[in-house]
Amino acid sequence: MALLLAAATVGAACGSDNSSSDAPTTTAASATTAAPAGSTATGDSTVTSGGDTAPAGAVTPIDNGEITHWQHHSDARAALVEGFIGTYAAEGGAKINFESIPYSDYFVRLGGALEAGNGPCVFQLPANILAEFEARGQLAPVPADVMTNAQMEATFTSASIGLLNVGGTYYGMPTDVQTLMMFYNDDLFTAAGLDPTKDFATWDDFRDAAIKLTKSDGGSMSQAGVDITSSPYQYYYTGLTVADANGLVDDTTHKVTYASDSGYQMWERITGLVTTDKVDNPEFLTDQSKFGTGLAGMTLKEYTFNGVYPLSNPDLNFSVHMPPPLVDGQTAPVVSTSWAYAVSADCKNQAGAWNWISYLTSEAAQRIWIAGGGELPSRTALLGDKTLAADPAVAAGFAALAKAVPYDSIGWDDTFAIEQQIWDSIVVGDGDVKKAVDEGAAAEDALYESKGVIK
Amino acid sequence: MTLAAGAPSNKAFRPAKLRKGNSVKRRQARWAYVFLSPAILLFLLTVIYPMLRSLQYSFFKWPLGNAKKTFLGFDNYKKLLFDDDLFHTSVKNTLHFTILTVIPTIAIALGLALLLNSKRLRGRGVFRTIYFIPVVTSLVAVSFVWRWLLEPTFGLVNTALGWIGIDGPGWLADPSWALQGVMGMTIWRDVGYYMVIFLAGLQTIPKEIHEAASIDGANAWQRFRRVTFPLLNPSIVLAAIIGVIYGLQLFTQVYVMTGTPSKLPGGPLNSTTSVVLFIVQQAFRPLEMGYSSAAAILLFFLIMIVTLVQLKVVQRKFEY
Repeated sequence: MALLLAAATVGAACGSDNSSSDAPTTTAASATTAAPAGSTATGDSTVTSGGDTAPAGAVTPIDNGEITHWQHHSDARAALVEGFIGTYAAEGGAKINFESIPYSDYFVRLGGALEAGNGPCVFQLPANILAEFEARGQLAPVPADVMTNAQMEATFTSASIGLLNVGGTYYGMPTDVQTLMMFYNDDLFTAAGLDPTKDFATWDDFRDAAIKLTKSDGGSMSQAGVDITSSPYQYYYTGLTVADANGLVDDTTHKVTYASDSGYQMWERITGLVTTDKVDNPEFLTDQSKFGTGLAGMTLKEYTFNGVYPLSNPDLNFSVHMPPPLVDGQTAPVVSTSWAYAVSADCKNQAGAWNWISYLTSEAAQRIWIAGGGELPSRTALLGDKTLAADPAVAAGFAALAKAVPYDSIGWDDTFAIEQQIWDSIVVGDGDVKKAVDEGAAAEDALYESKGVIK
Repeated sequence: MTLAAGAPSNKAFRPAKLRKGNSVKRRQARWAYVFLSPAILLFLLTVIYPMLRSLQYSFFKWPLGNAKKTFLGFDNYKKLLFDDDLFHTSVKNTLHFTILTVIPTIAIALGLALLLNSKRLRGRGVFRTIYFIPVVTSLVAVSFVWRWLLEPTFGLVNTALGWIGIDGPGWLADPSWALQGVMGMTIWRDVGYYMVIFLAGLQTIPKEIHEAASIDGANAWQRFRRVTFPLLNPSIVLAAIIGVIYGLQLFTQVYVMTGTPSKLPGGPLNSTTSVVLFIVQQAFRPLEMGYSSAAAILLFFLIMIVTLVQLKVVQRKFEY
């Protein structure tokens, strides 16, 4: 028995090499090229790109003591930050003690360390929960000598900084801007007689294509039409955000909007792909990236996967598109998310920390993030930069970003847990959409109430 | 000089000896405490103090940072005991896991120990090592590997079942099978550990008792039933108590086998959510310690009660 199990173990370990999971992180092919060359300018503004003028676009590094920097790990982003650390020091900046922490441990470690008073000076937070950290008194505001409110608003897109403003004060500078895009496997599309160059105009077009792309072998699925079960959260948070004109959370009441006809329709449509249309199956390559391994026709993912797939499967021939309408009369074709670099209120070296963040979010640095990190710009000036948009994939990301509405949940992993419960209840539970959605919406409202954000 | 004059009388000698004895004992006790003090201090600081703080937190809404801490009395406990379905599910899952892993693990480990204690078996050392390898392997690593073994479409377990005509279940993708998958991995990993406990216990049973039983006409089953099993009781009690305590603290396997960067662990449909996972998620998703501390205190009492009941039920005194 032991020998059999040992053999099984070895076999499984070997087999796992090909099964990369779709982590919601940022990766890219040219990650090691990180260095914001030319990011130091003598002035503190007037960096031009594409003919636009960006205030406070360049940063002069300062060295007034070491700075600890934590962020959740991705190989490429970590490599980029390492590159920035090198150039920052070379240009006279402080020593950065950088720690890249696995996502699953990130908030546990950050929360504990901040509480114990030995947390990092600089850290990364999803924009959606920045206000929670501020409410705990753990964040320092962006100093006026780094950027005034007016400069923040003139420099960055409103989608990337909307959630960073708490009570009229900004507590972070934006990073890791993403849109949710539909990825096609062009080879599978062509083989199925579909056109991989076109976006889907209607939900039914998308669904029909997904059915055509699905294959079975001996009664078992061998190719998914759409890869959804391994990572459904991109679908439901996109759908929930665009289903209502107020977004996922009503701006006035801070109650969720999705226990409504449009919300039910969205849940019915995305879960129906599995329960009715059977274009994916949770038992087919459980929790593995079917699209990444070339065994799914489509998937909805963050823009950054434009950089991930070439690394995980160089033979994958894919293209990037606008998602199909997940609900009738939806408010926007696409959703964006972003994170922020923030400074701990306990940080002894506030000036140094903000200087480092300014460096990381400078226009020159953002060009490197875009080229090497698979993220989209938060700086308004870069949106019109034709040199960046020369790459068709980047152009698709820019086009999406121009039309995107921000994911406006007032939570992160805690709200995903509730929404995942809705998904599971419908897909592997009793299948009652209305009951699952109503219960989920009530749980999410209760969560926000416990956070003290329900007015 | 006479002995009578110089020698102390018995009456005078006894109290002096006693006094000396007491003084030595006191001195020994003092040194014992000196040597124990680092461990006691560490225990107080790292176990007792956090437990007391956890007890304190459990009566509050205790968000981290300088956010307001609100006294709630027993509200957290009331909510956990009467209102929180997820907590109830986690307790049910944990008890289910504990009962259905500890009993088979002990039974299999005992069988293996009996086999590997036989002097007629060649290569006993090699087999003992093989069965013990999973114990010394990282739980995270084996959980990760088992996740791939249990993959429904291409995993080795379902492939092997297919060879004998069985259509394997969805394992970690199916709410009815996910916990069974975690249990299977845990049994595989823990068998070697309990096997070593039983081997040690078997080697303390004097062979004369077995010989006497054989002379009296007892067959192998009777010798096991009437001699080996009763005399192994201390080892069985130890294994059962350790197993139950570990089982009630189920966390790592679930965390690794059911969580991905895209999905939080404990699914599908909370079918693998354990009490410890519940505590961690309640603490570190909202960074609020009060509610999870109350759950931790309830888990402490659950472990204590189950262990005491278990001691009453399992422990037997046998003498030959």
